[in-house]
Amino acid sequence: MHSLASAASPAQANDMERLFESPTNEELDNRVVSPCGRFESFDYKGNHFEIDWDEIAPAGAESEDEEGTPHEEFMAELDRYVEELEALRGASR
Amino acid sequence: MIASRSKSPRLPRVIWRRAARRSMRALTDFLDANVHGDSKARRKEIEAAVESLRHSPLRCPAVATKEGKTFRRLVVRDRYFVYYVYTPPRGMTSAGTISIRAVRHAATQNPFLAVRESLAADQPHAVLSTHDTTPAIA
Repeated sequence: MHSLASAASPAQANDMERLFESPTNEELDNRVVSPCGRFESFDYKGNHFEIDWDEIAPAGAESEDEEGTPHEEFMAELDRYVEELEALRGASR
Repeated sequence: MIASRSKSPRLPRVIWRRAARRSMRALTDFLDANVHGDSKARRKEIEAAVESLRHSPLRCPAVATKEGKTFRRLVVRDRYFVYYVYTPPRGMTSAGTISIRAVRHAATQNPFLAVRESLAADQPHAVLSTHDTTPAIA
């Protein structure tokens, strides 16, 4: 396995490192987790985040037989979705 | 005759679960409704971030375990968080799977702050929400 950064030029790798980060929980600021573990709140680089784990990992979701949509397929679907939004906006002008 | 083997590394496939698709559409709506900044560029960055995971799916530390699954988190431009679960390869037929579970943005502050050209006002024109309430387009 190799990293994407290692395949890119140093400048590209630096850009990527700046764009994509992977902080640990300890590296987040003001992190608070509710006693039940469902809600999480923290700050990261001046931005405040509130996480509801029931939305990210709904109860019982892991036992569902959901395959999911392949990345390329979903990105194409999203492109079409944006085109529709733009068309709607254009029509309303 | 021995079959030739591809020299390119087999990369894990990426799939988007239902909740992740919903959250990405909601984020797309928000970005699209905001008149500041380049919404397409932001979305492409998130797309590139997800694709980068294929080359290093374990680069992000585990941040939570739910129902036996280890959740990891990738941060894009300080303000978009991608939550995913990586399942390593099983046997010779699989290269592993990266299952995207959600894309979240900052609950406060302007998501375009510091990533856009100089503008007079910093307030976004759309309402920020961490909830996925946007119905999908059929």
